[in-house]
Formats: sequence, C-alpha cells, structure tokens
Amino acid sequence: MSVVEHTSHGPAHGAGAPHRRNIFMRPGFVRGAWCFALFFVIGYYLVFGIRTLAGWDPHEDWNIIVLVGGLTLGPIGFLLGIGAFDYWLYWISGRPTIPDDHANHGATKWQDYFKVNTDHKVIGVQYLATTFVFFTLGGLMAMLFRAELAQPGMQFMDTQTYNGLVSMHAALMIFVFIIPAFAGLANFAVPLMLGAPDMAFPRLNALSFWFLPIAGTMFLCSFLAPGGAFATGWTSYAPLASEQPIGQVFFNMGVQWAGASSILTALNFLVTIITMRAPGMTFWRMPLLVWANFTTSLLVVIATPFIAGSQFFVMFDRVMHTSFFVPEGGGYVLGYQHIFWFYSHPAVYIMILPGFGIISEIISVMSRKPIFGYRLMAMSLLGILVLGFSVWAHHMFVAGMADWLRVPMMISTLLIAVPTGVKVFSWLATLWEGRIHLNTPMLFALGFISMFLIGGLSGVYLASVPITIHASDTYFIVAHIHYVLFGGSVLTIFAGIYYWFPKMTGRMYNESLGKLHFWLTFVSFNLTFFPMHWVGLVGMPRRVADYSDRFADLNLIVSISSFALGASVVVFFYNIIVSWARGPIAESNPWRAMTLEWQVTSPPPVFNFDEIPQVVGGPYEYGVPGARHAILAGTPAPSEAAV
Amino acid sequence: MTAHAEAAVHGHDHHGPPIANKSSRIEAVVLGMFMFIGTEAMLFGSFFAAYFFVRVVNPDASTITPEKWAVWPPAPFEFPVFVAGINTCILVTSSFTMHWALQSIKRNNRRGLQAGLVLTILMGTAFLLTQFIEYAHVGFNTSDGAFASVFFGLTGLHGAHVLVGLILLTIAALRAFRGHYSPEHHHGVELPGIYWHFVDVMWIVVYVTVYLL
Amino acid sequence: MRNPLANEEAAFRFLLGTIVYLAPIVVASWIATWLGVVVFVVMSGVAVAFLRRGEPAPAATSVDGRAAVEDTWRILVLADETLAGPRLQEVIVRLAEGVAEDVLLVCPIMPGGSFTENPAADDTPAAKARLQAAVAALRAAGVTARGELGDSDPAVALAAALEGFSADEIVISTHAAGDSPWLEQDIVAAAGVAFDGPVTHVVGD
Repeated sequence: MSVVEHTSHGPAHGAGAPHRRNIFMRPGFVRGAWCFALFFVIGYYLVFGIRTLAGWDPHEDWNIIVLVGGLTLGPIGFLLGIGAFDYWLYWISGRPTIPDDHANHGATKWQDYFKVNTDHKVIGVQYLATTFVFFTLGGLMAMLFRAELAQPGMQFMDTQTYNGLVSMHAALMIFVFIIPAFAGLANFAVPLMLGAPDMAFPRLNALSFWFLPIAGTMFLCSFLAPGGAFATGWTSYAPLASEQPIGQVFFNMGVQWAGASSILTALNFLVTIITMRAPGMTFWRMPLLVWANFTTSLLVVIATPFIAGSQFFVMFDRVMHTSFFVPEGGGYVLGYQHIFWFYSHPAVYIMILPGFGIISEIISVMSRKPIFGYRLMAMSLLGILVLGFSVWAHHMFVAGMADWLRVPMMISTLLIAVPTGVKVFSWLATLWEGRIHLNTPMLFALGFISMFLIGGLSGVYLASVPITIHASDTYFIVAHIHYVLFGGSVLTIFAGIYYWFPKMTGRMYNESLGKLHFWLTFVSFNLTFFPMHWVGLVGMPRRVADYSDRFADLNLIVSISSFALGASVVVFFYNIIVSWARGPIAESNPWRAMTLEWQVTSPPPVFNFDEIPQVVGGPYEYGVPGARHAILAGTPAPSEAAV
Repeated sequence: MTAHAEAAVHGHDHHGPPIANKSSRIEAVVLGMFMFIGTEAMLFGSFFAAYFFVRVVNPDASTITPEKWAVWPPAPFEFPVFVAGINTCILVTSSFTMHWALQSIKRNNRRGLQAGLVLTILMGTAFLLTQFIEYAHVGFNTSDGAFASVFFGLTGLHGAHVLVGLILLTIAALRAFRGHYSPEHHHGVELPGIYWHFVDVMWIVVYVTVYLL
Repeated sequence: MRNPLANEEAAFRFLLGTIVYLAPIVVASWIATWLGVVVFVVMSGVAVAFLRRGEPAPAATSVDGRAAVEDTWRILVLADETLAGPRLQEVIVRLAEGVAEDVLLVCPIMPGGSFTENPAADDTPAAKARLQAAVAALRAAGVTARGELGDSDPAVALAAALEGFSADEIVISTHAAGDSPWLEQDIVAAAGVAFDGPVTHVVGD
C-alpha cells in the first residue's frame, strides 16, 4: 500500500524487541481461541438483540446464532487472534508501521510454520501440510464407507451416517485438499520461477492460507451438530439442503471460507504474474506452470463467486425464509443447479490445470527435451479456460432442464477434449526420443498421462446425452470422477511434491520408497476404480448405502483395493517426514532443470534472490547448445544443460 | 548466492528483498483492486442469475400471482421506485465528490480532499439509512415470495458493499485528516475511490433491473 | 494488451459511461417496450464504436514519411548483378538521408535445393565480391550497411530476409525491363503485396 509518511522507523528488524507480551495477548493460537469465543458471544448478542428489537420469535434462534456467531464472526475473531490482521490494524489506527516489516517472514524453526507468516515458501508448505491432513481424513472416511459397502446390507452404520460420510469425503477432498494443494505448490514455485522476491501481496497471501484450516474444521465440526453431518452430497442441492438439520449450514459456510481463500490467492497470483516478472521474461518465456496457474487463477476469480451465491441463497432460504428455490413462493428449483454448476464445472478445471503445468515441467526436465509446441500448450490452457464456462449443464442432462440446452452443451463438452488432446499429444511428443529419467516424479507424470487419458475418455462418453441418460448417477460417474481426480489431480500433486521436495526442504527423499509408493498407488488405484465402470453401467447407482446382491463381488474387490490404496499413502508420509528430518542434503539443482527456482540454493534464501535475474531465453531449451533461460548475478558462464 | 553465503557467514541477513522488477505499467495494488472488483461483479452476476430465473424463466410457479412477468412486482406489492430514484441521485453525486476528492489531492489541495471524502461518506451513509427505512416501510419481507427474495437479495448485497465502501472511505478520511496523503502518494484514496465507483455502477444496474424494468 | 482500467479516472469515466448508456434505454422503455429495445440496440452499437475508437490504426504505410531520428529506419535492398552499380548506390544514399538507417543488402545467389538454370555456373564468389564492394561504398558514404547472400529465387530471398529483418522500406534493383528475369517474375508487384511499406524499384547498371 502507499507509504505511510508520518511513521518513524520502529525497532530495527529483529533487534531490540521489547519483552514478549503474555501468552493471552501475543498473536497465536491462545489469543485466537479467546478471540473466537469473544466474537461468538458478540454474534449471539447481535442476533438476539436484533430479533428482540424487531419482535421476531423466537428471540434466541440457534440456527442463526450458530451461523452468525459460530461460522462467521467466530472465525474472524480467530483470525484476529492469531494476528492475521495485525499489520493492517496498526496501519489503520495510525500506529507506526514499517511497510517492509519482515518480522513475520521466513521460517527458521518448526514453530514458524504455525504462525501467520508472509513468506510464500512458508505459506506453500503450510498449505501442503494442511491439505494433506484433510486428505488423510477424507481418505479415512472413504475407507469407512467402503468397509460398509464391502457387502450388501447395512453392517455397522445407518444410511444417514453413510450419506454424511460420502458428502464429507467429497467436500474435504474437493474444497480443502485438491484446490488448495495446487495453490500451495504454486505458492512455493511461482514467485521463484518468475524471478520475484515474493508474491505481490504477502500479507494477503498469509490471510488466505489461514482461511483454509477454518474451512476444513468447519466441515468436520458438522459431525458434532445435532442431526449429524451434512448428508446432501457435496453438491448439496436445494431444496433438500435448506430443509436438512443444522449440520448442513457448516457446509454452506465452509464453502464460503474455502472459496474466499481460493479467490484471494488467485488475485494474488494474477497480480504477481502480470506485474512482477523478471526483466526479459515475456509471457512467452514463462514456464508452463506459471501459465497454468495464471489460467487457473482467472477461472477462480470469475467462477468461484457463483458457488458463493448458490450457498448464500440456500442459507437465505433456510434462515430468512426466502423463496429462491422454493416453488411455492415462485422460486426456480433448478436455478440452484445452474448457478452451482456454473462454478463447479470450471472447478474441475481449477483442479486439473495446475496439474497440467506441473506435468509439463516434469516431463520436459526428465526427458531432457524442450516442451513440444510450447505456444500451443499455453494457448490450449486459454482454450480450456474459455470453453470451460460453456459446459456446465452437462451435469444436468437428466435434471429436467430445458431440452434445447442439452445438445449445445454436449457439443461444447466434446469440444473441450480438443485442447486437452493437444496437451496430451504434446507431452507424448516431448517424450518421443527424449533421454528419459524414470525417477519418482517422472513415474507419477507418466502414470498421470495414462490414467487421465482413461478418465478423459470416459468423460468423452459421458458428453453424449444418451449415454449420460443411462449412466447418470451410477458408479460409472464415480469411476470417471476418480480417474480424473485421483488418477489426474492427485498423481500430479504427488509428482509435484516429489519434484520440488529437494527445493523446499533442502533434503532428498528416498527414491526407492518413492517408487514403491508409486507402484502401490498405481496398482491399488486401478483395482479400486476400474471395476466401477462396469458396475455402474450394469446398474449400480451412486451414493447408495446398500445395493443389489449381484454387485456384491465387484464391490468387495473395490473395497479391499481401497484399503490397499489407503495403506500406500503411509509409505508416502513416512518417506516425506523421515527424509525431511534426516534425509541426505540435496544440492540446489538435482534435476539439472533450467527454470529459475533451481538456480538458487535448496532451500532458497529467505528473499529468493540476491539480485533479480535477467531472463534471456525460453525455459525449456534442453539439449540446445548455448541456450540460457536466465543470467543470475555472480554466476559463472554455464556449461550446456546436460543431456 | 555467493553474496547470501557471505552474509550468512557474517551472521546477519538483514538485507531486505531485492526490488521486484515491474513487468507491467499498471501498479500492483490498482490491478489488484480492479480484479477484486471483477470478482465482486461476478458475485452480483450470480444474484442477477437468480433474478433472471425467478422473473424470466419461471414466472408461472408463483402462487401469489399466476400472471406473467409483465406485472412486476406481483400485485398488490410495489417497489418504492421514487425513493430509490432519489437514492440513486445521492449515490451518483457521491461519486462525483469522490472524484473531486482524488483530483484535489493530486493537486495538493488537502482541504478539498478532506471535504470530498467527508461529503462522500455523508452521502453514502444517507443512502444506507434511506435503504433501511425503505426496508422497514416496503410492505413485504423476505418470506413473501421469490420477488421479495430477489429484491432483498440484490439490494441487500449491494448495501453490504456500500457498507464496506464506507468503512474504506472512513479509514481514508481519518488518514486524510492526519495528513497522510500527498500528490505522489495517494493510493489509499485512489483504491477506495475505484471501489466506490464500482459500487455506484452496480447500484445503477441493480436499480434499473430491479426497480425500473 | 493495454489495460483500459488502470486508475481511478478510468473507473470514474466507466461510471459516467454507464449512466450515459443506460439512461436513454430506460427512458425509451418507459415510453414503449419496442422503443426501449431499439434504443438498446442503438446504444450498444454506440458503446462498441466508442470503445473501439481508442485502438491504434493499423501500421501506416509511410508515404512520404521518414522515421524520426530516434527510430532506426531499416532499408532492405534486393539486388544481384546491379548490386555495386552507382545508380543503386545513389538511391540508397538518398533514402538514408536524415534518418538513423540500417541497410541490409541481400544478394540472391545461393542455389537452393531445386534445379537452377545454370547449375554449372557457380556465381557465388563474384556475388560476394559485389556485395563487399557495395557495402564498402555505402559505408564510405556514411551509410550503416551490411550484406548477406540469399536464396537464388529473389522472392524466397526477400521473404527470408523479411523474417529476420523488420524492414521499413524495400528497394529492388533490377536490369531494365526485357533484360530482367526478375521483372518477368513480377518481383516488384509481389513485394508490394507481401510488404506493407514503400517499395522502390531501381533500374540499375
């Protein structure tokens, strides 16, 4: 923000800090806890007071009190307590502030990762750690309901609990695992790749991270609500959603917090990519990961407000008795689905485009070849961006919407396969006659291409209206979803984590364990989800707690394989945690990559670069004699990027 | 890297970050504000989508009045078009005073800046108060049907944005009275100004579609 | 890509534009619905035209213009046997007056993969000599110049040179009509089609 003219320079960075305030008053979780409680109480009296003054009975309406106090004001109090707003509040109140105050920047000990930290590298790791916690919880829930589904009949849970687990699994995975995990990887890598010292708005970056644990906790707290967790599926259609017990509201609001996190991060990325590129880095010299995050951020900024709107309407219908989706009052029931899917379809592109960027990086580096068709790769991202807004109603082919909308949506859905196909063929062409290094990131990248291809093909089938009429709401859809989301997005997340692990931590992961993790995952993943194609086409519906006996055998196979898939994640966690603690020290450029993040130490210096590098060429010129991507101050003349 | 190693050896890394390269003519904070406004416009878009569904797509489902959308709002309800029209004039004028405030500080006219900001805040507050009174006297509430839902939804969303704008302007005004702005450094006025103009544009669109059309 | 919304003034103008756009539509629809639709269409057209007025005109073909001194004026010269002749030299020096010039002389001589008329006659050393002489003479006259050999087909040589050298002006020097295989190929007309700037034809010696 603008320079504050009337400040004196406060205590020098790091030196001469006054005695620490006591634990209740200094920024941290303790202050966060009591500020949460305080704001909850404020919310209670706000609701009580307004209802009393307006004469609305009952004066003490816990539906609204939970919503306003617990899910809106309370988390704001928590954020206040941990210190996310401190700098801005000091600045607003006129106290001396140093615009370049780096007291909360960078991490030297593990406690720093639990604070409000403005360093994009720290925030990236915070995102990854948090999202993997939710990944684990969501995965455990999946294994729970797969255990229930292993045999026909209800064994150890009732149908409402089952529905709650299924809804929670999906909500956690989509809103607080995949989307923010990509945000975390990008947070770490993009400023480094651009040659920038940090993101454009580091404090905003920190704030958007802290929205995320709030959102996930909110989802999970719905288990504690009377009436149980939200059980309407992650899609939470109206009017069912407005009539469910209070647990539903935890989903409605949790989505808002996750969405806000996503939007603020995306704004940050867009401004960073547009205004903070190193000299000489034109748009056509940016690495494809940056292109992918640029496109994803545009998708987020444009589409996410629509899911916010849909959740607002559902909450208004519940709390203020509006008739957005209530037919008796003139509302349009299908409107929820239109508005919801107008975000949620671009959401699936938000969940895959950064993965495409990661794979482009890895494939190019590990085959020692320039990316085939770099410009078309960038433009296909933009093509997916534009087309992605025109296909939402393919989720509504059997919803009862206007018939004339179905064929145009079918055509536009089929069209999206084109830019996606351009990308797949370009990756294959990059691999062709390359010198391929089959290490863990590359294995995951190759696994991604094959599994995403299968998921994409089932998607092309589903684009066709008659096939969807048959396969809608069956396990065929579940198979498609998981091939593109697990076989697609999650494999790229793993690939990215292994790829950037040496850069983030300064240590190298264990390669044998990495390969073991890959193969366990790949085999158990296919055993879990491939049979679902068949089971769905012969008639097993999705989101059912019980099913006909004829599906029993395949369901048992799927359930057992899903336990194996869960177990494979243990290998990953062990590898990451032990390698971070005690792994061999990694050099700065173990992959001999050319992008800028590999030209600094592992882990990078606190402000990334001593001097901003000068970019002189493209980032993928492997095997091209004399090609340089950038010149960093003080570096000697390079030898040719080794083949 | 060498320099960093040396600094580490000497036991301090108090050098700050290198100045990032400006790869675009537009300032980061201004671009950020415009993109944020884009996002908020999309949020209004979702509310307009609901309005479209209620009024154009599904007019027959209402049990209050089965007539077509030519009768809007359905009888016997009416929207306070005149009062809202006055409100529109107030808000548009406040944009002019806001613009004047910014022009003043660019020409180092601090009194103009302060006066402009105060006037804008007063008019914005008047707008909100008028809206509250209008809500109390409009004769229907949120549970009276889809038309009411859309009315309160769109105007309420807009009112919330006005409130946020007033908070930003109040912060700017307080700092203006403390002398924080100059012809070279006035982002703290410019950014709330851009936001305020967006609020104004949004109101005009809301007013035209909800009250007039 | 220029960003139209870059500061508060732009936002304020956007607000004023919205009012100006919507007011006639609203007034017209009060009078009659069909009138409102008509005014909507008209105002939308006006809005589009107004938004496009700021776009720069496509790169002007400079008729008489010489570039301002700050910009380099790039002249591409295509000549073979007339390369070192005085008439061509005179034309180039005149064109280079008053500008910060950068002259590239291209001599189409390199046999391509296809059959040439005289596969046995390799004229390259003579062409190189002509090129060097021409460059030296130009430099002696104070013109910044350099030379290169191009494909034996003049059209191909021209296209290749334009790819690497963003010329502002082209000079093609040929023998007189009747003597010139290039003119039979209509090289000057082809250059005029392929190139947006002035094309000067010199009959050299």
